[in-house]
Amino acid sequence: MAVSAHLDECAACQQWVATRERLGSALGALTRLTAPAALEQAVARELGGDRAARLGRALQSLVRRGAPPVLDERVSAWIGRVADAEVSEQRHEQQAGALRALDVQRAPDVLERLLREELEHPEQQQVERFTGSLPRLPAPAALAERLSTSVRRRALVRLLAGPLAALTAASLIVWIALRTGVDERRPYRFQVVHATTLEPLDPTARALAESLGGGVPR
Amino acid sequence: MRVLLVLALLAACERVAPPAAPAGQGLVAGNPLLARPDARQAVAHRGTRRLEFPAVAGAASSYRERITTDGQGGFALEPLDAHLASAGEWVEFELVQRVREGFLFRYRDFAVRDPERFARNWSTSTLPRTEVVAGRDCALYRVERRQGEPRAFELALEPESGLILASREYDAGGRLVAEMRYETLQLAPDLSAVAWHQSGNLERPVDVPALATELGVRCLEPRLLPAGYGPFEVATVQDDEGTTWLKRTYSDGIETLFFLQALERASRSTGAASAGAGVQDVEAGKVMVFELGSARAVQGRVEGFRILAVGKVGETELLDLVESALP
Repeated sequence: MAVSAHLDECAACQQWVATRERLGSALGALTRLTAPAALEQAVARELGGDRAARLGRALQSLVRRGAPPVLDERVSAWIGRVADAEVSEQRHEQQAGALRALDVQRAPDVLERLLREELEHPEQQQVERFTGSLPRLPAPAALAERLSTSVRRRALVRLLAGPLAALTAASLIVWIALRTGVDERRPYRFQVVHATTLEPLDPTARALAESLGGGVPR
Repeated sequence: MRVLLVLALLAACERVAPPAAPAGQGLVAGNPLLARPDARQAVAHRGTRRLEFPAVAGAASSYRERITTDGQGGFALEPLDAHLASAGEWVEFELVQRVREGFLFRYRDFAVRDPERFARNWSTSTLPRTEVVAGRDCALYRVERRQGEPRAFELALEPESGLILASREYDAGGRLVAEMRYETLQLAPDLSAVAWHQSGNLERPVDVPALATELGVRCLEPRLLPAGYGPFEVATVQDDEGTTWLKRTYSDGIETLFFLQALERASRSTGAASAGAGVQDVEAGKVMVFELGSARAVQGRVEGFRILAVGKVGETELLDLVESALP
C-alpha cells in the first residue's frame, strides 16, 4: 500500500515503472526463437564451472608494471635538454630508443594459455563470457509446472518403451559427465591436494590465516 | 535473436542503477575513512573491546581484549577473557593470542591499508543514523566491494579521533562473520606501564634484487593476482625453525593477501631442500589447500621452491597466484 501511494505521487518512479512495463511488453512481443546448439553447449559448460569468470579475472588482475627509475631519469633529462620545438623529432627518436631498450617482461604462462584459447576460438569465448555475465533468474511457476508435467509424461513413456533405452541414456549421461569433469580439471603445473586436517599446515601460514579470520585458533 | 540479446543487456544494465537511493543514504564525497586511513596507529588510546566471530564453530568464538597504542606505531594487545570450557584452554588461547599479537593488530582489524586501492575497489556510503559506542557518538558507514563477491563492512567512526570503534563484517551471502566493538575508550592514556609489542619474527623490509643477489636464490613474484589486489609491502620474516621467508603482501585496500617463499637453496632435480624440512612439508610437486573459516592457505614445494599463500580469496585465485609465480 505504501508503495502504491508513493507511486501515485512520485513522477520519477512512475516513469521508471512505465519504462519497465514497456520493456516487458517489448520482450513479450518478440518471436520465440530456438537457441543454437552451440549456445546450449556453452551454457552447460558455464554452469559446470567458472571458466568464464577465471578468464575475466585473469585479464583484470594482472600486476601493473611501473616504469623503471632509469626511464624516469632519462625522460626528465631529455625534457630539460630539449626546450625548443626544433629537436622534437630527435626527442621522439630518443624516446622510442629508450622504450626499445626496456626489458621485455614475459607474460605468465596462465595468461598466455588463456589468450591462446581466446584467439583460437573467439566465438566460443565470447559466448562463454556473455552467458557468464547474464543474471540467473528463477524459472516462472508456469514453466516449472509444464516441465513437471512433461517429465512425468516422459517417465511413463520411458517406463513403457523399455528399460534398455533408459539404461543406455543413463550410461551416455554418466560418460558425458565424467568426460566433462576431466575437461574442467585445472591443468596446474602441480598436483592439488585438499587437506582434511590443519596438522600439516606450516605454523607461519596458520598464524597468518587465523589472524585474517579473526585470530581464533581452530 | 540479436534483438533479444540487446534488450536483455539493457535490462541488466538498468538493474545496476536503482531509480532512487533511500533517504539519507548516498556516496560519501570526501571519504572520512581516507582522512585517517588507520587512526589506531596515529591516535594514542587505550580501550577494551569485544570481538565475536559467529561463523566460527566451537570455543573462543567470542573474546575481549585490551588495546593500547602510543600514536607513533607502538601497540599492545592483551587478551582479557573468552568463552572457554576450562582454565587450560584459556592458557593456550592467551598464549596463542600473545604470540600472534603483531599479526592480529596488523591484519585482523578493519583498516584502510592502501588508500588508492580502497578508493578503487570499495564504495563507501553513509548510513542515516548514529550510534553511541563506548560513550561516544559515532557516524555509521557501509563499505562494499565494487567487484567480485559482494562483501561488506559496517563501521562506527568516532569523528574527532578518526578511530573505528565498531565494525561488522558481512560475507557475500550477507551473513555476519565478524564483529568488533569498543566497550571503553580512553584517549591520551598513561603509557608508563605498557608492555609494547616486540616483533618476534625479525620482519624487515627488503630490496628484492639485492636480496636475491646476496643469497644467490631466485625470488619468485606472482604475476596473476586476484581482482583488485596489488603489491603492498615486501619483507623477510623468520619462523620458529629458523627458516627465513620472503613475504610479499598484497592488498585490495582493506584485505591482505600473502605470498611467502622460503629462502633456501633447493635442488631442482629432487625437489628436496637443504634446510627447513619438517612435518609441515608436503611431497614435491604437490600443493595442499587448507580452509580456515573465511581464509584459505596453500602450501607446497613446487619446482624446488617452498611456497605459502594465504588470503581471504577463492581457492582458484590462490592457485592461479602460486602458478603465476613459478619461473
